Amino acid sequence: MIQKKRKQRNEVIDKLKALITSLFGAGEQGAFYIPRPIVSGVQSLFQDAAGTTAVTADGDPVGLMIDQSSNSNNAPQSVSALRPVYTLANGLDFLLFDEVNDHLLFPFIAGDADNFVFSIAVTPEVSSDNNPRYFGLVGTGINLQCGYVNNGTVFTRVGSVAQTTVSSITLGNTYVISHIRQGGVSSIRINGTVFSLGGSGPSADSFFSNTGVLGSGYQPNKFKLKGKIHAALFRYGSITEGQLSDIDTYFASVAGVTL
Amino acid sequence: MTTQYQQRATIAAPAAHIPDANQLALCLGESSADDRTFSTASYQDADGNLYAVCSTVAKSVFAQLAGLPLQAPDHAPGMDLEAATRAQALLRINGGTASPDVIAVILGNRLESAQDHIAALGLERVQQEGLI
Repeated sequence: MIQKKRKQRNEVIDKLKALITSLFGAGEQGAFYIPRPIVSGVQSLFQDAAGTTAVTADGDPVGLMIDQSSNSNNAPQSVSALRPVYTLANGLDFLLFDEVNDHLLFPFIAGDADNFVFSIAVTPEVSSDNNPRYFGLVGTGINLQCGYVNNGTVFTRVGSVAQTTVSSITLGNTYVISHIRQGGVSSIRINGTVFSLGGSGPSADSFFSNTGVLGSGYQPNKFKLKGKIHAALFRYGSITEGQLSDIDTYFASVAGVTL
Repeated sequence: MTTQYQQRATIAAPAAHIPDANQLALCLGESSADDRTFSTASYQDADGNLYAVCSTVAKSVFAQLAGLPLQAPDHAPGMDLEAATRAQALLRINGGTASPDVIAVILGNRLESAQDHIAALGLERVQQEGLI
């Protein structure tokens, strides 16, 4: 029994390592977050932003989440009351965001606004806030925001242009969602189904070095997420269908989603 | 392993008392950044009075510490103890709805939701622009 569990755990670690190598092995910039206390044998969640007190139990606040890519774009929250809560329920690990003020910040490196992917395994819930974002940028320049509306619409905003799907999710359920922009053309992929959004938005432009936000929008006091984040990644550069499919598969496995 | 954070505290700081409330948060909190706990007053009561709200998991000693004489913590030795003490005098834990002359706190089990606490405080979010 113990050997079987150990084998299963090793298989999960191997799949994660293979995915990280596939996405970031050539030095691609970005970040990869798995909200689990220990990832691949290494402590990856801490209660404080300095990383001195480990998250060990369901219910601990999270003040630092370690980037699993090799970019060291770790996600801290230095204000105690603004930290999401690590939760372990039904065998699934996730961060719980309370819609009031919880969010994590991370360094967002300048890069090509026409070629990126932001992926998340998320359980969005009906929010009293308008149009909550689970990902955003703080600062000046072209911003990026990814979120949803209470009617089930999912949207990507790049700069001043927002592109939305039709109503496509049921709030309270869990989804693997990728916000994709390749060659200036946008799409949103939900549990493997692609919604093409076309080529609107700024073209041939760049994001500035900024601060990224998990669990809120470009202003952390607005557009706050109510729900759970099971995994998230951001990555610049071109991406293949096979890599997107691998993201779907891995994120679905950590979030309990059936594709 | 059981978490030490067995409670959820949701705190409504009236707009006029936000600076003092932040000094109290700095004193009772665990980080030198806790003077940024309360920011925008984005909630209102039935009379339109504005409040900054925070909600967080808390250790069981929270209520006890909140009632003791305050001391500057190691993480913020230069904090404004006078301001924090002013805020402490306004604290009212599980004493009903928010009002402009108190810093109202709902303290409950960690599994209670922030939204339920905010409803118990008699507050609702000030509607903002509907920008997608």
